[in-house]
Amino acid sequence: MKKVGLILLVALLSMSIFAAGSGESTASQDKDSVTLVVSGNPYRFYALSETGCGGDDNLVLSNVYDCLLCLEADGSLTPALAESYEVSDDGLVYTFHLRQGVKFHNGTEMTAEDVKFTFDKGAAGPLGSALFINYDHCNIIDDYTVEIVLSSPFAAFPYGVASRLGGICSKSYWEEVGDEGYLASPVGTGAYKFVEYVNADHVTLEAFEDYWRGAPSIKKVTIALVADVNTQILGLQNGDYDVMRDPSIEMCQRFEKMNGISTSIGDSTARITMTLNAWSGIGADLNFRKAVQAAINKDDINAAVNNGEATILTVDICPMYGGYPDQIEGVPYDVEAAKEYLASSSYNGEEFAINVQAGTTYETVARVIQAQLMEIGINCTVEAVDNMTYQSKLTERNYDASIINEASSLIDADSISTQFIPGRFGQSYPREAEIYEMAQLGRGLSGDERKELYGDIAQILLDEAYTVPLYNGINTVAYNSQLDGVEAHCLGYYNFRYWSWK
Amino acid sequence: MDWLKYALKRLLMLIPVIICVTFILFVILSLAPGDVARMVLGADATAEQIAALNHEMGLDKPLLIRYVSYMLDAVRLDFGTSWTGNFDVLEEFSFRLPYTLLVSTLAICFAIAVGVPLGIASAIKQYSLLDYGCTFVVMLLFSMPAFWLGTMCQIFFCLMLRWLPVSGVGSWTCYILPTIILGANTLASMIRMSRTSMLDVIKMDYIRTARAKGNSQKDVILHHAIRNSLIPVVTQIGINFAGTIGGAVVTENIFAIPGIGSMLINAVKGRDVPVVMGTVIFITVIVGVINLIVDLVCALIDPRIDLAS
Repeated sequence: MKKVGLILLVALLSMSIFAAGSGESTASQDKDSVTLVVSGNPYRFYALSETGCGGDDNLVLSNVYDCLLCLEADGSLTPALAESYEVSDDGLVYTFHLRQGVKFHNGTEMTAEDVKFTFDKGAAGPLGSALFINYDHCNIIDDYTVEIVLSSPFAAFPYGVASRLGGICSKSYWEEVGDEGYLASPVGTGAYKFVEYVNADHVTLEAFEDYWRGAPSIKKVTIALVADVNTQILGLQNGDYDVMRDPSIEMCQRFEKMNGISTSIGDSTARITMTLNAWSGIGADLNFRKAVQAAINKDDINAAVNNGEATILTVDICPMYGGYPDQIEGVPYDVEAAKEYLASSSYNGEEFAINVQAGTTYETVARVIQAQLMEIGINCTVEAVDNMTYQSKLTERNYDASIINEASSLIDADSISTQFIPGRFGQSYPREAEIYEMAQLGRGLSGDERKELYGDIAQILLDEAYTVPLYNGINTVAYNSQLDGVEAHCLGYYNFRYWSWK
Repeated sequence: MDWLKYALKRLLMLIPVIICVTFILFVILSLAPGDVARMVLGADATAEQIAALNHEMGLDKPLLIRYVSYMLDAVRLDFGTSWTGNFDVLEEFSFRLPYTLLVSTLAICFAIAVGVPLGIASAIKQYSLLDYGCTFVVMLLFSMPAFWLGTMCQIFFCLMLRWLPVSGVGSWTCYILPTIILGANTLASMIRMSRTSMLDVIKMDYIRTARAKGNSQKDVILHHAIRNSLIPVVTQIGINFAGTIGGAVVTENIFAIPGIGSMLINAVKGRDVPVVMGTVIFITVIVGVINLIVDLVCALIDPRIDLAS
C-alpha cells in the first residue's frame, strides 16, 4: 500500500506541474486578442431577416455592421457611414451624404444602393415599426447621397438610423445568398468580420484590415457564452477572460479593490418602473394607486439593489432621452400621505400581488416595495415567476403590479408611448388614448415645445399614478486593467474598435 | 444467442418508456403558462404575427395531434428546429454529445479507478485508519452539492494555486476539475459499494475454505473474492453512469462545457419545446442502452445470471 500511495503522490505532483504550466499560458495575453464573457446567447447576426434580432445580438451586430450614424456609449450620435446629414424644415426628409471608398467584408464598395436596400427591407421586416418609425421611402440622389423620406415627422428618427436595424447590408451579396445565406455568413462594413458561431458556446470575430476607420488594434475577439455568473467572475480573476459584461454593482465594487481588474458603470437606456393595474381590481381606485405611489421610498430600493449607484427617476423618462422634461417634480416619499390616501380608498385588506421575474435584481426591488407597502397596511405579496410566465402575465394584463425594465433602442421620450398604444394589450389604462395621441404630437415637435409636451404626459402619469418610476437602469463592465477603451455602453454592447492593450 | 434476444427485447421495451416520458413531458410543457410566440417575437409583435408564428409552429392544433405529429417526425429522426436559437436539434445534439460523453466517461473512470481500490482496501483493513478515512470521505462527498464543490475547487485550484483554467474546453487541463466534480458523487458510492460488497464476500464460507486450503491473503482476494464482490459494483456503475449524464447539467453549467446538459438548461429557461423534447428522448435512449450494457456485463462476470430467463 505504501508503494501505491507513493505512486499516487508522484502522479499528482507531476500532474500539478503540467497543470501549472498550462495555467500560466492561459493567463498570459498575446496582446492582440480579447475574450469577452457574457451570459446571453447572441445568434442572429443579420437584422433584416424575418427572424429579426434582439438585444444580445447587438454585441455582434454593432461590430460587424456600421450604421450611417454611430451610437456612442453615452447615448450621443456621431457620424459613421454618413459624413453628414441634413433635415428638411418640415422634418420629413433626411439627406445623408455617404462616405466614399467604404468596403464591405467581401471587398465590394458600399453605395447608396445598399443604404436604400437596408432601409426598405428593414422597414418592411418585423422590427421596422419599432425602429424605423414613420419611414416611408428612400430616394437615391447619386451613388453617395440618399434622401430618406418620412410619412410624418419623427424627431428621434436618427436613433433608428443608428440602431441595430440600421446596420448597412450589401445588396449585391444578399442577391447572391438570400436571407438564409446572410444569416449564416454575415457581411457588413464594420470593424470586425464574423468568423464563427458555436451555439451557446462562443462567437469569434476577426479584425477587418480594410476598415474605413483603419484596422482595429484588437485582431481577434472571442465572445464566450457562459451562463454561470460565478464562473464568469472566477474566469475574469483567473485571466481566462479579459472582459465581463454586466457584473452586479456589488461585484464591481469588489473588483475595484482587486489588482488588475477595472470596472466601468454607466446609465443604460432602461427605466425600471412599477406599473400598476388601473383598469380592474383594487388598482382601479385612484386613491389606492396614489397610496402606493407615496409609500415607495426609491432611495431604499436603490440602496438595496444598486448600492445607491443608480439615478432615481422622478418621471417615467430617462434623463438621457431626447425631450426629457426636467421641469417636472416627482411625488415625494410620504408615509403619512400614503396612509391618508389608503384610508380614503376602497381598500379592504385584499391581496395586492407584485408580478416579477424570479431570480433577478427586480425580485429584490419587489421585496423592498412589499415591505414598504405592508408598512402602510397593504397586504402585499410578491409573485416571483419564470420569464415566460412573467411576460405572459404582462401582455395579458393579468397582474396587480409588475416591475418592468423598459429598455429602449431609441433614446427618446417617445419610448414612453409604447405602453399606451390603444388596444395593444386589450383593456388597459383609462387615459391611454389621450396619452398616445399626445406622444404622437410630440414626435413632430422640437426644443422646449417638445420638452413641455412630454412634461404634460409625465404629469398625467404621476397624477393618475399609472406607474411608479423607480430608477434609471445601469450597465456595468469589468475588465483587465491592461485594456484601454473599455466602457459600459448605454445599450449594453461594446464597440470593440475602441479597445486596445496598453 | 440468448444475449442477443435479451438485448433486442430490452431495446423494444425502451419504446413504451420513451412514449411515456415524452408524453408526460409534452403535456407539462404545453400546460405551462406563457405565450411562446410572443416570447420569440418580442413585445412589439402584432397579433397577426403571433398568430402566424403559432400556426407555423403548429401551436394552433390540439395537444394530442401535436404530440402524434411530433413523434412521427421524431421516428424519421426529424427533431425539428429550435424555437429560440434557429438550429437543428439533431445536428446540435450530435455536436454536443461527445463533450457530455467525454466528461461523463472520464468522471466514471476516475470514480472507478480511485473508488474501487479504496473500497476494497478499506474492507480488507476494516476499522483501520484507512477505513475510517474512506468513510469520512464518502460522507463528505455525498453531502457536498456539485455546484458548491465546483465553485470551491475553482477558487482553490484556479484562483489561489493558478494550476487550472476556470472553464472551457480549450485544453486537456480544462477537463480535470469537471471530471473530479462530476465523479465525486460516484466516487463516494463506488467506495461505499465496493467496501460493503467486499465485506460481505470475505465473510462467506467459500472464502474461509480458500483460506483453510492455505491460500495467501493476496490469492484469496484476487482470485476468489474480487469477482463476486464486483457484481453489485458493476450494477452501481451503470446506475451512476446514467445519473452522471443527468448530473452533467450542473457541472457543464459551472465549467461552461458545451454539452447536452447546458443545452437542456438553456432550452428549459427559454421553453424551447423541440430542444427539450429532443434532448430528453436522446438521454432516455442513452440511459436505456447503458442499463442494457450493464446487464450484459453482469451476465458476463457472473455465469449464474441467466439472460434467457
